[in-house]
Amino acid sequence: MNESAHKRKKYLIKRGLQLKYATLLIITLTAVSLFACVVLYLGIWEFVAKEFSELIVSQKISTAQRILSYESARYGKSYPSGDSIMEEAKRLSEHEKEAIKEILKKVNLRLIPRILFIVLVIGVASIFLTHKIAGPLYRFEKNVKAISDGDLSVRFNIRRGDDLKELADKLTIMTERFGELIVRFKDLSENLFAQTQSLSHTIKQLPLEERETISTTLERIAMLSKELKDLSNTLKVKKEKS
Amino acid sequence: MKFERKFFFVLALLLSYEQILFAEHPSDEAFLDKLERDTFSYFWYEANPSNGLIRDSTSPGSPCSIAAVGFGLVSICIAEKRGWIERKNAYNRILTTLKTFYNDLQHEHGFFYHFVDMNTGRRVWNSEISSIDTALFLAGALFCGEYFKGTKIDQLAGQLYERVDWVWMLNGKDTLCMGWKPESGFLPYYWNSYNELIILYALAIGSLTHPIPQSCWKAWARPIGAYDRYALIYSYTGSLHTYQYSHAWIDFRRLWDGDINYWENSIGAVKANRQFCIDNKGNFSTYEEDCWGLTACLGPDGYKAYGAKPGLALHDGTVSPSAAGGSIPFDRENTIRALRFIYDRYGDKLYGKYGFKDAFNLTRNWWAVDYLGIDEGIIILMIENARSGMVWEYFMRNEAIKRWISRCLSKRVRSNSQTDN
Repeated sequence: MNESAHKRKKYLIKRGLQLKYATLLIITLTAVSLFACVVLYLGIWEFVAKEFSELIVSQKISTAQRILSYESARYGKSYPSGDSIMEEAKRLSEHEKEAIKEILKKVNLRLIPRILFIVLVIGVASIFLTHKIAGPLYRFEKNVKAISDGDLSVRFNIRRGDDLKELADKLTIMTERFGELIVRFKDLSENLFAQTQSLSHTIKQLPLEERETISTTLERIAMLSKELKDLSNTLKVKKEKS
Repeated sequence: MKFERKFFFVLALLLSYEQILFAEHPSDEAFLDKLERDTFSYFWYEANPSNGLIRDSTSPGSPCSIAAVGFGLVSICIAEKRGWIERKNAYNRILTTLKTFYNDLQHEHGFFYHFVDMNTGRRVWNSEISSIDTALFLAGALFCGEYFKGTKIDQLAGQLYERVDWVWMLNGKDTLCMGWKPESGFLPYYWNSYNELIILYALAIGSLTHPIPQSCWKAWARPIGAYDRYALIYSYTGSLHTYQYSHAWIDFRRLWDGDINYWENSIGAVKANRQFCIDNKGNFSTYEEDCWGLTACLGPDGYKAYGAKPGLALHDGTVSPSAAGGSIPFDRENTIRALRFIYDRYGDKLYGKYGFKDAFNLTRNWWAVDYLGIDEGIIILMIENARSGMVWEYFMRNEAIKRWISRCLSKRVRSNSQTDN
């Protein structure tokens, strides 16, 4: 089998169907991905946000202040002033909060193009995926039309890896059976026509009276047999190799 | 004859008056029992049961204080002894705690950080590796080792104690350093003058693995001062906790450091502290005959080392119930009266599910909302010592303490004029 003959030349082989299912796939996968992303995103950032929330920062400062006051009480006047250190701590916590906000902003900005890229990948992938169904369907549709036009020589061949292979094989067997019947029917009608011709020739040797009666009947048979032959000639079947 | 009858009558009257005035009210025992039990609840419920770490205070987000854990370990044994919790629960909680300290907590030469995270056990803020707080924790651990003698707890407590390199904490000097930080090394502060340091030196000198020289015992100053009629070896701040902490574990009643008896010394300090408050009641409305007690505690301006004379005597009218609560064995009558007074008069604002909140100041109309672990700790340990002497009894069995006593102190019975309270 010539591989190149079965290579995909056109990916949007059934545009309507493929686009419909591609869209459905994109929406579904994007929704699932976004949901997973949002859950993960919120889950991760919740910890960060919580860690740097007003409440927690304020608790941390209180704890630091408490520790400093313990140390000041223990080490006496020479210990660094708790107030000035707390001012620094407050500034540091403000700086930390700003830094976290900036990180969040940057992460969000980086996430947006990445999400769009993921959607694009899902879109392209969906065209390939839908083609595995749309390809065989397209082939079936085309072959069924050929059969309806009388061409029983068509075969339901589909590409490796495509779906609906079993159905395609059964349709091919069915078409082959029809073809065999038609060939047999054709042979019989041709034989009948030949026998009728031969009989007609023989009858011409008979007396006129008898000849007319039989001839009329034979003409009718010949007409029917011709009609059968003409009809069978309109059906195209695959020639079996003898 | 007439004179004799009159004399005996007056004497009998005086004695009965003294009995009425100073005898423990029948409900005092019940009061102490309630206070002790409520205070224990702090150590049971403000702990992380998965690792045994105990909060420094009830302040939201509070880290663990390893000193509070030391007090907490003892309080669990007290609760077990008194039947407030089952033995297996006490055993499991203590074992969990010691395992956490031995396996999970960061340490430097066996010393731990003063404050660690309640969940991870990691150092909090820029907390220091603390010698005294490690000692307070170890005192609790060794107590548990004696209480659960011959068990895994005993073994772990011993391992934790033996791991500590006390010589390292000397930093080449003759007194122990207060701490160390990874960023800056040893702190420029040393345990070189009388305060709660005795428990630290006792453990450091009594160590089998890394003992500091016996000479270190004599290296710290014993300044003498007086307030009113009370002369004593005093601490720099004059805070009552400095006269209490070592006594929570060590029974000093028959121990002599030359001619110093620290038990008598603390009795004098408590009386001086009370007198100092009484003498200042005109300046601060909190102070009264039965409302006194200057010790390191929370105050309107944060945690301060409040104290009386002799000493720095920083005070602003803030009274902590832990000052009286931690002094019950030294002056049973006055301390219980003070605690009951505070409970009766201010209990609605100052007493809650864990006993007394840390402090209050009427002059500034300030009331602590937090319970503080170490202040809760000194209350429960000293109540138990006053009631049964249990903490002293078990702790004094420890071999390290015996070694320290044999190296630095002498044992003798006090003279008749020196009586137990």
